[in-house]
Amino acid sequence: MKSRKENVEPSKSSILILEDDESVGLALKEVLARAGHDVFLASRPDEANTVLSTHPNIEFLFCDCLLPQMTGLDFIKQARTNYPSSRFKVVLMSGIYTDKQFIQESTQSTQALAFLKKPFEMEQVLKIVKKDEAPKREESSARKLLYQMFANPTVTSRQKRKVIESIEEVSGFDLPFLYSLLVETKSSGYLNIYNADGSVSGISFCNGNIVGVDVDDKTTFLGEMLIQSGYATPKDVQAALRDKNNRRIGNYLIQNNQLSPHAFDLILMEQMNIRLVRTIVDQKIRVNFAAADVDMSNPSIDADTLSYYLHDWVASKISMNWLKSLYVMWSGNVIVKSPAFREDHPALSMSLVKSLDGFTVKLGNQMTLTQLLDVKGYNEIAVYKAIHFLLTKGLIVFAQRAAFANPQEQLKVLKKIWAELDGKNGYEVVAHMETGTGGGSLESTLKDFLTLIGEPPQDSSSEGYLIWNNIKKAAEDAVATAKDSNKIDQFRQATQKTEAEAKLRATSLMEEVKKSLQFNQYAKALESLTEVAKLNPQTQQMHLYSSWAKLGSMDPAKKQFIMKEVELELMQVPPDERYDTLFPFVIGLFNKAKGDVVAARKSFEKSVALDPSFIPARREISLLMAQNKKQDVFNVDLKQVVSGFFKKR
Amino acid sequence: MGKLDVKMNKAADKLTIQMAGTIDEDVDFSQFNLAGNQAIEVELSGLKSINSCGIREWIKWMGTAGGASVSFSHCPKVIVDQINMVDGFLPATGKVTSFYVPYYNDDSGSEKNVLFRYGTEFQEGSVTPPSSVKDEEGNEMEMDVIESKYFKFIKK
Repeated sequence: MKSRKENVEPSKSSILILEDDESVGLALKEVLARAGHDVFLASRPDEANTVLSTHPNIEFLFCDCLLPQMTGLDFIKQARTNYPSSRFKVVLMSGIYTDKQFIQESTQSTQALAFLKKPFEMEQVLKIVKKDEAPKREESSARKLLYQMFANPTVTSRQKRKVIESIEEVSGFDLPFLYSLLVETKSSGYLNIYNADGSVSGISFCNGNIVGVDVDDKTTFLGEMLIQSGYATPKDVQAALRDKNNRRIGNYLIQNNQLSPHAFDLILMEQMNIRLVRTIVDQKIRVNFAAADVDMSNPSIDADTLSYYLHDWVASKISMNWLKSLYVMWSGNVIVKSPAFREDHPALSMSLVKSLDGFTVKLGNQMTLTQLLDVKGYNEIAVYKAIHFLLTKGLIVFAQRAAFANPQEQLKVLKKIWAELDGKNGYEVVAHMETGTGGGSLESTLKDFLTLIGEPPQDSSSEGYLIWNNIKKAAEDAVATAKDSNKIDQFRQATQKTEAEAKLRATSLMEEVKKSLQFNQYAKALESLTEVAKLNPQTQQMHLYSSWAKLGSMDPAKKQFIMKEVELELMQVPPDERYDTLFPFVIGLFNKAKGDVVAARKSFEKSVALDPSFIPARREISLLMAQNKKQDVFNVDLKQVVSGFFKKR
Repeated sequence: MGKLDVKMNKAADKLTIQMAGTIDEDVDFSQFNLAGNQAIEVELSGLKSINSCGIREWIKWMGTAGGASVSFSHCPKVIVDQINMVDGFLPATGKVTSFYVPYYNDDSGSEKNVLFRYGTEFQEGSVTPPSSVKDEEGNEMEMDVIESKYFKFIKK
């Protein structure tokens, strides 16, 4: 296994040394190369020009002031004119020009980071590079560092704070990982979430427990939750809502012995879950964590309970598109078990992991995500989500990047990346690259992204080579476009318009789906739902209506397969969509299809309790009652017939 | 005593406020009247934390200061973070006169908060950190914040 340091080591800098003194040049090159940097050594200005023209990503130029063909200062001036897109930083060196005035003037005129008087300590050189690259590293690899936090068995408060601080913006989809990190590392303090609309939400942690969730949306769902959970009857809840007389509904029910305090705690925890779910959105947010002494309170969410919620959130809230973009950065990395992994960890027995046969064994086989996706019988959604769940729970991490095992594997990765980029405009390509790399400056995003596709395939006539070039060109073009603010604004507006239109179309199609289902036109509903999933995969209640349609149109010959599909659909229903009349209704249909008539009837009754005007649930109850009646008549008749044989005459 | 300790001292047209503790959902700023003052000075060195409910309450409370010029001194990191992140946290008539900057030494792990004062270590649009900060053992310390983010409010 790779060492911890290897696991979290970010990529290094490209450095050019222009030094005609061979011994100094070689020593400098060796020290910098040993520290992991890509180093080019030139002894003459023309050689240095060749390096600059072929390597636009040079970040540091160590330049001697006295060179064979010109002075170092002239070379720097010329290089900046000839290679305007190259943004190297300068470190001047000299053993001759060492007077204070020269140092001051030359440093100013070349905007050099430092002036090294020969002979100098090599430690000094490393410090200069380290200090200057630190902010860039923090910016460009922040997302990577965040998701590798569990590689470190003892994460300090400062490390957590630093990594959270270093991220300019995160996606709301990154929040489950942050919650898990703060819980698993026993944090106390406040995580404040700053939403794009200016509102602020906050999560309070006490020694690794979530003790408070504050969101702007104060919808309580209490009545619905009490009915759904079965802890209170619809009648009691309705009476409580009518008569509570300013008392809280929970207190009213407890005081009237209609609800136990323990059951109410469970409901309050579920309420916290729903509020947490409200923060997990596909939008950019900013976060800030401040360690503080926070009082413990009840109910609270501990690490074990959080596992269930994390599983649920990953299954139901996080979109596949987002996951695919995120995992581009890990596609070639071997998955390894983290220090927290243990074979009997409860998370390993949860549905996402369990649905993949032999998954935990494969995690110990040094496989990459790409290889796991290729395992026969593994569902793509389940693989991405199971991996994300285990990464979020801190049970796995990604080892340092391994080169592609073979050209075929690289081709697979390239094809996947190209499928995501093909047909996208510059704005969309940059957005995709930023999700995968964690953002930062455009240059660092491009650089990080290009490292993901590896070296160009050797065979220039191969399909891989062609796709590799397509990806590189699309990425470079997108970054060039993004630098043109007018053009990128046009693209941004076009994308936003397309997205808005797609959402509108999806919403109107959903209305058609609802109508079709009311009239039992399942095939028509399924057709529209396929379109909805393409237009806006985040459409509310899509998985519920899809399950309804699938259960309604079920071909008995394919029952097993469809039931599995519906199970996966139901797993993707977000918690905040479960307190509406539709959810228990669909669960009722699912139970009915399984043959569990008692459970089905209970679910339909809950559905009616939540909305007495919901006709499909009433219809199902009537159908079940009629069926039951038929059976009773038959049973009674049979009893009579049988008893008739033994009647005393 | 609650989680937040507030001391107010009114002299002529100037109100001086000293705050220490935590600003959270339990805070009741309505008892601390800001109205009717020309100048308000808020000293925050004892403030430990603020959560999202506290941020909302703070913004509402600051809104009651009217046109008074409000100066904030000894702002800890938690407050500087909110000033940088939340629009309206620093009222339109507000000004930071001093704030703390965390410093750190990688080798010894020592931490220290250094006070940056207006006119000495910073002014509008620029920051001039002390040339050297040392811990108790004489180790050189480095600034422990991302400067472009932490000093954003100065460059606004």
